[in-house]
Amino acid sequence: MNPSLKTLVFACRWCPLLGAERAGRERLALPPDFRLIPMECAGAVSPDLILRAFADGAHGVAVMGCHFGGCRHNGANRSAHTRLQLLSAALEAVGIRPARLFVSWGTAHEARQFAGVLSDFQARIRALRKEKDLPLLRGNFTPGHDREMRP
Amino acid sequence: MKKAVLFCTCCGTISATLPPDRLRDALGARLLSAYGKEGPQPACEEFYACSMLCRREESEAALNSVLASGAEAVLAAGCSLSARGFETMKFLGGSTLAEWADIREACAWIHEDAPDGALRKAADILCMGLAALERRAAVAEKPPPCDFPTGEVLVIGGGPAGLACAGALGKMGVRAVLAERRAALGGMLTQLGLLFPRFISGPELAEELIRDVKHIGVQVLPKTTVSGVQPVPGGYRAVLNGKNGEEERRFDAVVLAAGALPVLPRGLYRYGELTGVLSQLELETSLGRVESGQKEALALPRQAVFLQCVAARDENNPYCSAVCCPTSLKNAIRLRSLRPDGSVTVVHRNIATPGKHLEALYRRATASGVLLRSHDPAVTPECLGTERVEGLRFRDALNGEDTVLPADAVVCSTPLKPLPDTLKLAGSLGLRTDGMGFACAREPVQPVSPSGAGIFICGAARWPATVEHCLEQGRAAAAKAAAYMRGIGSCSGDSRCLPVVPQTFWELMPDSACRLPSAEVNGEKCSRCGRCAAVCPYGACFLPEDAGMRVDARKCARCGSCAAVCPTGAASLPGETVAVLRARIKEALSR
Ligand code: SF4
Ligand code: SF4
Repeated sequence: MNPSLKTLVFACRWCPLLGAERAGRERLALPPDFRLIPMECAGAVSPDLILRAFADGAHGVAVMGCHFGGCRHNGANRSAHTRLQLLSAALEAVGIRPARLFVSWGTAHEARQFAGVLSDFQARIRALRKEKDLPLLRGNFTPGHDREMRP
Repeated sequence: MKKAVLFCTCCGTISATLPPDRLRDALGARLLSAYGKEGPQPACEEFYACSMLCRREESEAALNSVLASGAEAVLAAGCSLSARGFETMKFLGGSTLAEWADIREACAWIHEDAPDGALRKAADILCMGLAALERRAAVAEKPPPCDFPTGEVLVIGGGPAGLACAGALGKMGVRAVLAERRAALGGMLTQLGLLFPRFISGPELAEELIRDVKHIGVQVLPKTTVSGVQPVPGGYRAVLNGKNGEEERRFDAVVLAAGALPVLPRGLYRYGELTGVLSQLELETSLGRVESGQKEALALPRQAVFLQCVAARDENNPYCSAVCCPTSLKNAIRLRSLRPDGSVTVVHRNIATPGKHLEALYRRATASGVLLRSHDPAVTPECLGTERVEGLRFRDALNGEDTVLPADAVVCSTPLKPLPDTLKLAGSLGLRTDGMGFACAREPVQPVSPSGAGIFICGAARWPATVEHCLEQGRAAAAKAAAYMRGIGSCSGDSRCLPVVPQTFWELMPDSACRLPSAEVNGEKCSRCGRCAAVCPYGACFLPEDAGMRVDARKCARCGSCAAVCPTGAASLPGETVAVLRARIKEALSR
């Protein structure tokens, strides 16, 4: 495991954040390469923020929220989902693999669910990096597939 | 700005993975590498370790020494927010700018087997908190003014749900205004005879409810239609058409209790052509007359056949209206007791009587000799007779045979359907309607609050309901509306008043220290594109004619969606601005 791998996890505090905290209470061992950012609602994660996170060097970004129909903010997660789907398409266009963005709704409310979902994502990022041992773009966007990821 | 870190070892469980001195060094090195010696902040001048920050004595002592050392902001690091974080942060936030960092559940306890990684991560988490503190202090703290509340709730509809709601509001000390389009209050109650399960008459119950409402001082507006309700900043503006002509009035909250429309079996089963083919409502009225002694029992049918699901569960009204089976069974029981010499047969597709009371009603009906026959809906039953109805032909669902039941009355049970006016109102309030055309709340979590921002809905306007259920829903809506009004009551005239939207994070912490201001729009940056209004789940964004977007502090629930879609960066949540989030992300990723 490369210690410099970094994954950002935006977790809405109504569902995945609870899962994360429960995972902590159950002391489920997880690789320490993710950073949790608690949000009031996953709807507040703007595509711009995610793009900049990639530009700042994030290897992976996960956005997790409540299940559809279970949003505390009158379905703000649905519109967020639409936005993030559009973002996925845009990522492809600027040379960032959409697989590096993970969007998931209502899958991480319990400790083991959270740990499972997160480990899967981290494994995916690690595999991506191995498969394409390419520099990660940083600071400014330079389109092109050779700029996938920094080793 | 001088900042201090309060590090809680959580009785050694955090420090087992993250020894305080090593963490302090890691943090120092991390800050140094990120910002250089004389680079920009965030630098952290003080680092205090304590063992149980959640103990009030300990947090008080730590806070005092931090403040004495001249620090202006505190980053407390310990357990997760949902453990003791909220509480402790609430206390610290009372006297200084405070921020919480979870290094227990999010770090120390899950990375026990990777101490180096854990240490790096903890340093990152602390830096994220420090950076957020820095940006937070830079946020200008001038909340925009908002309109003072009127203190009034508009209840639309004076039927059972509306009356129960207005009465309950009055009892809770909330000023309610009840608008009824007819001259008399009571709605459907005035047309109903004995009601289940209390077996008191509809008009009697109406009288009881009206007495309550009048006694408690609810302002009643009879003969008043509400022709439109618009959300406006700070509440709702309703157009009332009453005896003083058209009038506009502002309300803090609106309860939609406008009921539904009983369908008549027009054009079906030779209704209107044969005497003796009745609607359930007509039978209800004549039963009521006999019970009150205005009519002879002999005028009632002797061989009655009730036909269920007339104009219901078909292409036009594809739903089960939920009130017709209970009404039929209730009237069957009444008819049996008024004409013990006669017979009552209910011809049905299946009987829907869920719940404790309705199950009891079903049992009582069968015990009192009401016959139940199920028919095959593939074959439409037929009323026989020339001038008077003589019988009903239907295909029995059990033996598949065509059967003719002699009858001197065929009573058609028809459903309730949405009222066009109610739908128009719901539309102007931005409420969704379900597939059947009724207005939606947020079932099953919030059965009477469609959006959480001061609109409530009860009674048959949201789904056909028995009188008993209408009363319950009316009272439920009143409870919700009263809680909403109480939130508004603490309005201090600026947008820092407590968010009144239920179930948000900040409601759990109603202390002034933790009241975050609502979302804000920077009028100069705003391009008036309207995206925030399109996405705001609470309808809290308003676009004035000539200025930038305005956020209604009372409806805003601080979800942050507007900030996420604003292309110009004009909309933001103070305290969790894009700058703060960006700072957090930068810290998380820089190394
Ligand atoms: S923060 Fe959410 S509720 Fe408040 S104005 Fe923005 S979108 Fe609406
Ligand atoms: S999204 Fe931003 S720019 Fe557009 S109207 Fe709202 S505040 Fe103004």
